[in-house]
Amino acid sequence: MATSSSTLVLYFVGILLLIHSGYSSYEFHKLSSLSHHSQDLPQDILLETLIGIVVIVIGGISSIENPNALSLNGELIIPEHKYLKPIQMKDSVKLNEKIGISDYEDLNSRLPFINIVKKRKEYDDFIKSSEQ
Amino acid sequence: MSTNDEIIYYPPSIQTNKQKLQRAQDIASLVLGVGCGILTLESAYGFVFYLAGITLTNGIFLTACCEGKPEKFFTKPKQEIFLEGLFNNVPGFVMMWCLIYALVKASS
Repeated sequence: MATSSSTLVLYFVGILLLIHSGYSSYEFHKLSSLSHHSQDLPQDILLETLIGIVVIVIGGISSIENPNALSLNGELIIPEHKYLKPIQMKDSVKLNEKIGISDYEDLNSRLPFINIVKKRKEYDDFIKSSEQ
Repeated sequence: MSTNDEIIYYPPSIQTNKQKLQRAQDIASLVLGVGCGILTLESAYGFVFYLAGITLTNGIFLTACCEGKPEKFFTKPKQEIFLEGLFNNVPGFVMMWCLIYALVKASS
């Protein structure tokens, strides 16, 4: 799953909030143990922690977005649903049809059997012929 | 023996959706554990906090990701989103809870 920049920003902000509230809580407990006054945790630490949790959860949910696809014709295809994939056969094959591939593309194109050396030689010859 | 009304499912999509839900719940449970430790909650309050938080996360997932039609993405929507994974994520939650609690209360 590719991580988008908005997800990273949300994680970063959330982690900063949690670290700050965690350190505040640590200081509070240390001071209250030294002064022998036991009090409840201040409201601002509570609020900061809850905001941090919500921000990271939103970041986590935005990290499961479907990536955009590139069709064989070079067109950018934005998936119909932003986060999940439809499970019914009639809906789920739509995306592959738009891209122009099938589920059995691995078997049809036989990618592991490509002769890379031959392809490189062809490419080199092409470059040489175009330079002349 | 198939009738025309029978719904044909696409298994890879079912698998992907489950993994995405699992990922959201993983992150939520770990972060809830961190929050629980920072707030230094103890005993049953921590588990109440976890239940409330994870249910809220599932609610956000249901509204934001399923676009109001969960039956389009899950075979058994309510059960899969709200019940499965509720207890699988407890160990991760407890781990972060104990770790952060120990760090925050170490000095006192």
